Amino acid sequence: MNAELHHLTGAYAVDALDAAEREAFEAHLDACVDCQREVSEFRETLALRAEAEPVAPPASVRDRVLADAASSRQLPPQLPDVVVDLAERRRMGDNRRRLLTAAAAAVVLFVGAIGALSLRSDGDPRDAVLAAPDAVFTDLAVNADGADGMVRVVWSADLDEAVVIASGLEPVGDDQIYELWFLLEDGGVAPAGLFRPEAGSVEAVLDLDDIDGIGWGVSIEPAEGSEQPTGDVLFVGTTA
Amino acid sequence: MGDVQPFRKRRSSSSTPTNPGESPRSFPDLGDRASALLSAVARGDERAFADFYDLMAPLLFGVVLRVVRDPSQSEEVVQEAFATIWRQAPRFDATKGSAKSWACAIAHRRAVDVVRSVEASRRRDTERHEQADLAPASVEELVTSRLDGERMRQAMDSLTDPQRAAIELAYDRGLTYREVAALLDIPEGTAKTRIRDGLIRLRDHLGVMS
Repeated sequence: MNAELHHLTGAYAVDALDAAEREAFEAHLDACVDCQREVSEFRETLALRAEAEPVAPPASVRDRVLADAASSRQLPPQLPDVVVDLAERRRMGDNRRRLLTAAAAAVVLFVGAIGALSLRSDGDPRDAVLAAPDAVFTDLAVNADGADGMVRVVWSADLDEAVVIASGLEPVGDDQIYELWFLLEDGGVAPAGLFRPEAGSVEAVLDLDDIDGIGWGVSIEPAEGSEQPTGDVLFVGTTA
Repeated sequence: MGDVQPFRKRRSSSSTPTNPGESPRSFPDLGDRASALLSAVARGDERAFADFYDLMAPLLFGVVLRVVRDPSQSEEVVQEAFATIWRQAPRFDATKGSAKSWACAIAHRRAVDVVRSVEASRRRDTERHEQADLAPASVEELVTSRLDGERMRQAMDSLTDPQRAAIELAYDRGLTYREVAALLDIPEGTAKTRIRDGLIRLRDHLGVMS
């Protein structure tokens, strides 16, 4: 623990840091459990003070607040802790994101081609998912330093199946495999299935448990798969 | 501080639904109730949000008014704070603190950002620092008397004068610890320490545990 930073807990809790110091301290806070506990206790203390010294605002404020809420959307729930802050990453990796967007556009064309094919040839389980009326297409974003490639998940809740379409993935040996994860509303993750790219590419159909996830994650796991990610979550995307 | 009086008077006739059988003392439950309501708010429940507002608005308005001082500007800040609460409710993480303290922290942060914004500081700097120079305004003036106020006063009394001054200048005036140091003519490290030590003492006096 950095003693200098640790002494900023009080100043941080009363918002007495300037913007740069606040940012630096928050970066430290993410990793320092002691500081988290102290800041949280200080905030509870200050909230008790607020509770002991209430001042009712005029009724007109209530009307405006409720009107605001009725006309504005809430943020989607927080992604699990294993998933780093996407907004942060976007800020840092705009160029990379542009590349990904281009790659995703290419996949749209590709998936379009599969869709067209499915009109003529049936029997491929991929087609059933891709053509399902409730199919949800999710392009996953790179979520870990050094991760490369492109992953799209097409999911049909009715069929309880998903198609993973990926390319440019890092090859893995026989002792490892790629695992798809459900991101859950409560912040957890659940296994969604395993897939093994050939030369970095894959189109795999996964049978899913009947789980309502809010998004997807991908990590590299031991060949038998894992119950919870043991490797970095390399890609994430929300279905919302 | 006279301009704050009308708001104080309004409390008794505010639209906050109060249960007649329940004394306003039922404070230990406020935090629990705020948590329960916020989980519903996180699922987009607008009625729960209205209840959350009724429960928390007097706390937030008090916090903001002490920092911003101007009542109509304070109303705007409270409105913005609740807009943030609504938007961010699905991301509220109860493992990092209570719903009550989360909401208060959002409002305080917003109030401080407002008084620090360029035009605000241009408009207010002289006044703010002059008043701070004289003495931090007593919050008791603003506060409707209630039993918990007494407990809080005792807790505040447990602070040393320098600790209390540092906390009030920072928290109630929105000054940075550097400004506190300059104003009190003490080293910056001392200002930091006084704020933290004061909070530790308050925390321990009030028995706050995480």
